[in-house]
Order: sequence, then structure tokens, then C-alpha cells
Amino acid sequence: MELRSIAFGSLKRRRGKAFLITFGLAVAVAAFVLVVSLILSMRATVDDTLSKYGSNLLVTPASSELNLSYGGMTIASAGTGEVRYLSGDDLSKVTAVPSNYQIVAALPVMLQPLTVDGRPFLGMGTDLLGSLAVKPWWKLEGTLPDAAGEVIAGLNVRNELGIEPGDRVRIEGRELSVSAVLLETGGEEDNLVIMDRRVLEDLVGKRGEINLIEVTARSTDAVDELTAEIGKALPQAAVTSIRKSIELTNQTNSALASFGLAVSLLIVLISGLVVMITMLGAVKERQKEIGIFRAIGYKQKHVALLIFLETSMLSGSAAVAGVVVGIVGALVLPRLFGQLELSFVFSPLLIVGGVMVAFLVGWSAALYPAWRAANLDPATALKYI
Amino acid sequence: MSLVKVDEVRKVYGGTGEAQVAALDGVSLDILAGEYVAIMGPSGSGKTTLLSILGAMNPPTSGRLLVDGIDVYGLSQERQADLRREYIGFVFQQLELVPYLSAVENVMLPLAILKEKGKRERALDALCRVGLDERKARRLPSELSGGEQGRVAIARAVVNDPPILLADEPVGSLDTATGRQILELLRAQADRGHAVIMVTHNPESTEDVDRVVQILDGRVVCDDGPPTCVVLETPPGVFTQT
Repeated sequence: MELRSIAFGSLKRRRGKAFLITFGLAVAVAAFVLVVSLILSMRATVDDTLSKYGSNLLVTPASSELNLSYGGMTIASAGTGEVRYLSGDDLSKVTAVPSNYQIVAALPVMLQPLTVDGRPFLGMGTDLLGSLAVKPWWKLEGTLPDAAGEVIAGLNVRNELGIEPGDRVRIEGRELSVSAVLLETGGEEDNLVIMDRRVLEDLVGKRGEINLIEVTARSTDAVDELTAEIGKALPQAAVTSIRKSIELTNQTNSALASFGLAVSLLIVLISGLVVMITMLGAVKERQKEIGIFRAIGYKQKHVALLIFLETSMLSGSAAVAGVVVGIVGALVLPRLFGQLELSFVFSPLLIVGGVMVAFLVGWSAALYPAWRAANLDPATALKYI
Repeated sequence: MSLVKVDEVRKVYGGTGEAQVAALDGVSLDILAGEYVAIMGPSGSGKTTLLSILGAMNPPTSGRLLVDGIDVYGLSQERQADLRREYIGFVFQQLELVPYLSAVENVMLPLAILKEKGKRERALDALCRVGLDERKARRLPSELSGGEQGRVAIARAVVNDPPILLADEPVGSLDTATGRQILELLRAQADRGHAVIMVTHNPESTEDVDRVVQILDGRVVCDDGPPTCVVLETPPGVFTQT
């Protein structure tokens, strides 16, 4: 027989207290696993959404004259002074950077001021299918332009001109058909006349002049890396990440993560206190038993070891229960609250962290009771004084 | 040379001045290996305090306890624990078996902290010596009779083969027949060479002992064989030497 047999027997004998301690520890572990899991899921979901929702990077020609704006950023002017453009070669260089596997899409965009039915608008020439793929918020009323003479009108363009899908408009002296209206996006696109890049090139009589390249990254983590690599590949271009959006999202994520961690830390602390108080009660209840152990030659370290062995056994059980409950909670909770569209992300960190929390909380909570038990005077415990 | 030497031991409880109570007041004893000694006295006489001092659990205010020539209370607490394990076996008043351990596991308790093989065999051997077979050894204390529990308690006390056996009112809570069995077992341990020191207030428990030490108000008032130390009728519980 070893000390662990005594510890195990003692736990079996005191099932109620053992359950209470295991429950307290399991709550701490489950809270930790749940919060970490939700944070991971949240980050993954945001990354996923960001990669789906449009470009993360804009590559523009470096220019001293800037007066056109797109996507909240100022773009090189197409109308005054020195104008610089990107080329097809630049697009190839973007798609050839070392981390190109992180690129979901790289779309060349041409922006040109146009006169539509006698009024000035900004024309956008791009890869329409590609844009629709990476900008799921683009909802069309009508059909995608499939001929050289068709365009999409932004919502404000429609309102200004009073046009509907199927109407014809005069752009730069040519008659074109409005195949669709882009429903409200709340962004720059509402003010644009959108068409295939080649159609715009024909309208303005310019070829191969790319005002900007929209790059969609697979994750926000890859944005900085891609920014650096594209900047290196195109030293003559300016590479701008949509930092505001990313930083705002990251800030929101960080705030939520900090709040979640603070709540789980509080739960861990409370659980630790519950465990400590329960163990102190158990030590008091076992005063005589500890006195007997000391009388038959157990040293202080043996008594403390007994308490830690018992705690370790309970921590192990709590780790298993807590990790399972935490993971199940992370799977089920977002479904219970319909508005949380989170996809569960499994990470070994959940298991390693859960086990560490169980043992750290268990051992920390056992420190004082173990010290009390080890310092019990055997003569007092056996009522010999 | 005596195995246990109590040298002018004094134990005072309480604060200072009149609040102080002298539980033991200059007690001296010499106990030899194989000697069966009963320490008797009325409640509050100091016999339990003397037992705890003999058990290396309660340092005296002054005086010394020598076990096998070792000044027990000159040792560190850790070494005192070693000495308890090596030299002293305890039989407690309520027997104090650990309820969640089987009989054999109870006997193995003093061995559990040792890194050696054959612990179970040693425990079974100790149980066999007190008349309990392997079948009973597997039972929990609650599944044993009072007498069997007493045997387990004695087996636990002697499993380490300590030279000294301390017994605190070992028959106090037992029926007459079971008490008789326990006393016989203690006698047997003394016959095997253990120094057996038993605290009791019951004169009937002293029939088989070699020596009776009677204590009153913290002082030894009689130290001789059972025929010479007798109980006086008045005042109740007071002993004298005839």
C-alpha cells in the first residue's frame, strides 16, 4: 500500500466533499475552456467573415496628386496633373508574392470620371464575377451584365437619374443598357456606375490602366505579411490595408476576449475559494485521523503529500469533466443564442489549458489546508493535551 | 540499561502564575525491554500527559525522555516522527482504525510511507500473530467485531516491530470479554520483548502486568508490582503503597 491508496480510500469515504471539490474545479475548467473556445471561434469567424467580405488590401500607384476616393481611401486622381497607373505586370507581381496562398482574390479596378446622361459620376471597371464572389453584400436587382453594352448602377445613381434595370443611359456619348441596380451597400459603391473593366476601357479609350488592385486575404493575420510582401514586389505602389476595419474588429475582439477572460478568472477564483473552504472543512473533520498518522510516524511532508494526492486525483477528474463540459458548451451555446453565428474551433490549447487550470486551482486551493494539516499537533489532534 | 528513561519530567499548562497547572511534577521512571507496565491514576492525575510525552508527541516543560539512550525532545520534529515510527507502536483508546481501509491496509499504515517491498506480507504476518486470518484481513473495520478490531489495532502497533508499545485505555470502550482478549495480546507482546506501557484507570486491567505506576496530581505515588500498589477506598481514586 502506498500513500495514494490512502488518498483514494479517503476520497471514496468522503464522496460528498470529493464531489463538491470536483464540481468546483470542473466549473473553473469548464468556464476557462468555454471562454477560450468562444474567443478562438470568434476570431476564426471574424477572419472568415473578413475574408469573405471584400478586400483587405488596396494596391494603388504612388502619386502626389490624390483626389479620388474609394473604400474610404483616397485614390490617385485620374483627371489632373501627373497620373500613374498600375499594369497587368503589377497584378502578376501581386499574385506571385511568397504568401500568395493567403490571397483569396486580387481584382484589378479601373476608376474613371464619366458623364452619365449629362451628369458626372464615377465609373468603376472591374472583374464583375470576382467582385460578386468576394463581396457577398453586393445584391443585384436585375441581371449581371453579360454583354459589352451593359452596366450596373449604384443605388444613388439610380435615384439621381431615375433609372431602373432595363433602361438605357448615355455614357460618354454611347448608349448602354442598365442590366441591374446594386442595392444599398452603405458604401462607395452606391455612387458608382459599375461595369466590366474592358467596357470602361472602351468608353474612355484607355487600355491597361489599372487604378487599384483589391486584394482579399484569407485571414486578418496574413494582412500585415501580405502588405509587406506586395510593398516589396511593387516599390512604386502604395499598399494600404483596411486597417480601420481590422483594428476595430480586433479591438472589439480583444475587448470581448478580455471581458471573457476576466469573467472566467473570477469564476476560477470563486471555485478556488470553494475548493479551499471545503478542503479546510475536510481537514478539520479529519483532525483525529491526521493525528493518528502523525503518531505512527508520518512526517509533516507525508500529511501534506496526502492532501495534495487527494487534490490531484480530484483535479484530474475535474479536468476531464470540465474540458468535456466546456467543449460541449462551446458547441451548444452559440446555437442556443441564434444571433451568435460562431463556428467551433478545436485547439489542443483547450485540453492543455483545461488540465493546467484544474491542477493549478486545485493545488493552489490545497496549499493552505495542506499546511494546516501538516502542522496539526498530534497530541492536540488526539486530545492528549 | 533501561529502554525508556523518564528523567524528572515536569509539564506545566496554562499561562503564568496561578493560571499555571502542573500536569506532571518531577516524574521519573525507568522501563526495561519486555516489561509490562500499567500507569494508573484518577482523571486529571497526569497519566495521559505522561503517555503523550512517552509517545514523543508532547515536549515536557522540563526534564528529559530518553529512548534507547536518545534524548527524544532534543531531536527535530522530523526526527521525532522517525523515532515514533521506529521505536513506538500505539494502541489508541477507541482503537482508531481508519474506517475506509481494510484490516490489512490499516496494519500497513505505518509501512505506507516506507519504500520497501513485502509490506502486505508483513501486515498479514502481524495479523496472523494476533489471530486474524487473510479472510478477515480483507474486511473493513465496520465488518469486524470489537475484539477483532482490537486485534487489528495491536497488529498495526507491532507491524514495525517497535521496541515500545503504548496503549491508552485499550479496554476502556470494550466489553469485558473483548477487553480480556486485548489485555492477553498486550501481555503476549511484552513476552515477545516489547516494553508495553498501558494507561488505565481500571484496576482489573492490571492483573497481568509486571508493574503498576500510580500517579496522583502529577506525581508518582506508587511504583511497584500489583500486589503492593492498591486502590484506597477513601478518598475515591487515590492510591497508596501498602
